[in-house]
Parts: sequence; structure tokens; C-alpha cells
Amino acid sequence: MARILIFSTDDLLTELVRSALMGLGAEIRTAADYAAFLRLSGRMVFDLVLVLETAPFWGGRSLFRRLRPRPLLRPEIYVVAWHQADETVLGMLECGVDQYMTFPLNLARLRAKVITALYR
Amino acid sequence: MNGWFEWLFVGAVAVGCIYLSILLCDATLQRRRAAREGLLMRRSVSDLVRMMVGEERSIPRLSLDRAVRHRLLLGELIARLTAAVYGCDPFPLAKLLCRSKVDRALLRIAKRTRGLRRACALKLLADLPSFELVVRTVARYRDDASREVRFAVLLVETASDPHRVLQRIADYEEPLSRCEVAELLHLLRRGLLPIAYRPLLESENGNLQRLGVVLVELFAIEEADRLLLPLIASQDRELAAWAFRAYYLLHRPLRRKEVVAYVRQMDRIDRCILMRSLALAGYTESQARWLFGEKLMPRYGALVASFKRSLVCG
Repeated sequence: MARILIFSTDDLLTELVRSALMGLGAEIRTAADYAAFLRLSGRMVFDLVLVLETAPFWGGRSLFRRLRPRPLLRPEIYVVAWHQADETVLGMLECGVDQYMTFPLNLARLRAKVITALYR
Repeated sequence: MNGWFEWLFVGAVAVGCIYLSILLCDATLQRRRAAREGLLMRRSVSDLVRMMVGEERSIPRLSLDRAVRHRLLLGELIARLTAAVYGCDPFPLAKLLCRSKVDRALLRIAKRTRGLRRACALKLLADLPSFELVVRTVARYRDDASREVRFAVLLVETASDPHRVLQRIADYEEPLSRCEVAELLHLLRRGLLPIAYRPLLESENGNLQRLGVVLVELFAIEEADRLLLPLIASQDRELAAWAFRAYYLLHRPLRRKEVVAYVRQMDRIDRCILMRSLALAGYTESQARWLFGEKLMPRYGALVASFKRSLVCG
């Protein structure tokens, strides 16, 4: 079974994305704070990590290396955030993020992207 | 006499203790209520998402219905969800709002309160699918003493009638502030505001021009620089400042007579502030020389160096 990890400090957004991704046949875990996020990502191997804010990546590539150590190709890392500025988007992609999407979000499109990422 | 003072002191301490206990109890109750409301809101999200994506046709009973302030919370929840999601059918949510009488509850809050609280209730109404009754009722607050309330009425009216958005903004009598324009731009995300900047910049109305300038800045529309120049030369100093900011953020040439005239009438302090912004925007010393003259140029050179820009002389 595929595994998805959703991290956001905003409970409602987490629940929104979790609800949108239900029924994909994947196990969905959520983390409401950074410590829990690191703990979960260290304990289990996920196929997809969805981060609903940009703050965890402000420190550069360190989080990315932690989530996906060198020889591994998984998890895919998607960021969904409110920032639309080019610098932010480019910064995220340079950090190694696989997809950057902005709110407001099309739930059907997100679902389709997640299905592609999980069952590629 | 001493005994009398002692009793007075003990009484004062007792009253203080009781008062503090009441405050503590109140804070605890509020915290517990907020936690419970948050939990009920989270539980209701999945039902609402199923409705939004069309999986659920009927209107379900939500966990949120058990909360004391369930109408207000439902309004807040739907406003947050619709702000974060697009491309979903708004009809089921509108039906749910109608069944729960959220709009009536918010109108009652607006009627009972005043100032910022009234404005908050009206802004929440603006974020929800609106009904005819709401638009008719909020019209009475158009001449409210509070600016926030007057602007919230504009938001409700523009959100309810997308075909007359620009007309409503043009009719708004006060000049819009930067924050107010930013709030209006939320309508853009909801597809209620046209993105065409040219009619806005070319209009005679200051508010529409302000909106146009912010659109140009937001989407970095470089072709709009010729339309910004007349605004930089306008008599409205605030509008000129907005237009000039958009102009230099687009990194357009500074050697234009409108730009030079605008900077010439600035005092020394304003010029120093402007220098910082221009250096940050990446203008070289040779580009900025047209604006500041030889006297201020060493200062500008130091700023450019301090920003560690590797600039190629233009």
C-alpha cells in the first residue's frame, strides 16, 4: 500500500487535502507540527510527502536531504502554498521539490497528480 | 482602627482572588470551547469536501451542527475552504448555507454590533455565496461611520454582482488603500474580477487606476510601462507613488521626463528612501544618475555595494 504524509500547521488545510485524497488506496498520515513531521518521516518510508507551507524549506536543502537521502528516489515531495512569487517557486524547486502548487487548489487536479506520482 | 484596616485589606485580597479565579475559569472555558470547535470543524471538512467534489448529493448533518455558534463557524469554515479551493460546484455549499441560515445569523451580528466587529461579519458574508436578501440588507451600512464597514459593504456588493464590479469600485467614494486593493484582488482568485489592466489604467477614476497599478505590479506586466508614466505625473501624490513603485519594480528605464520630474520634487529624505528601493530593485549607478545627480551618487553607490549586487553597467 502506498503511503502519503501530509504536513501543515493549519489543521483545516491538512484535513481538506486528506479528505480530497481519501479513496486512493493509500495510507495517509498527517503531521501537525515540525517535530512530528520529522519523526514520522524518519520512522516510515513514504511514497509522497505533501507539505502545505514553505517554511520547512527556508533552511535550504537540509530538509530535502533528510526526507530523501541520496540513493533513494522516493518520496516525491510536493509543496502546496499561498506564495506565488517567482523567487519562492524557484527557491522551492532548487531545494529539490518535485512539484510546487499554489492555493487556491483544484482538488481533482491534485488527486490526479498524486495518483500519477504514486502509481507511476 | 488597625483591625478595621486589616479587615479592609483581607476583603480586598478576597475580592482580587475571586476576580482572578473568574478570569482563570473564563480563560479555561474559552480554551476548551475553542478546542471543541476546532475539532468539530475538522470533522466537518470531509463532509464538505465530498459535497464540493460532487460525491455527496444530499446535504448531510455536520458535526459542526452540535457547536453553540454553529452558524458562524460554518460560515467561517466554508469561507476558508472556498478560499483554498477552486473549480468546485458552489451550488451545494450555497444550499447548505441557505438551510443553516448562516447569512441571516451574520446579518444579525452585523446589526447588533458596530465598527470592526460589524465589518468582520460583513467581510465573512462577502466570502460566502451571496443572496439577494444579503445585498439588499447590507446596503444600509453604506454610510456607516466606520471605514472598514463601508469597505466591507463594497466587498459584499462586488462579490454578489461580478458584472458590475468595476462600476461598484468606481462609485466607491474614498480612495482605496493598499490593503483594500489587496482584498479586492481576492476577487480575482475567485474569478470575479477581470484581469484586463488597460481599461483600468486609462480610466479617469482614481480607484480603478489604483487597482490597475497593483495588477500590473502583481503580474509584472512590462508592456504597461507607457500607461504608468501619465499616472506618475498625476496630481494625486499617492497614486503617483503607487505608479512609480510599480514602474521601478518592472525595472523600466528611469530616463523618462515624468520619472525625473517626479523624483525632482521629492525632498532629500524621500530621495534617500527611494535610493534604497531602487538599489534593491537592481538599478545600476549609471541608471540612477539621472535621478539623483552627482551630489547623492556616492550614497547610492554605497547602497548598491551593500546589496552585493553584481550589476552590469547599463
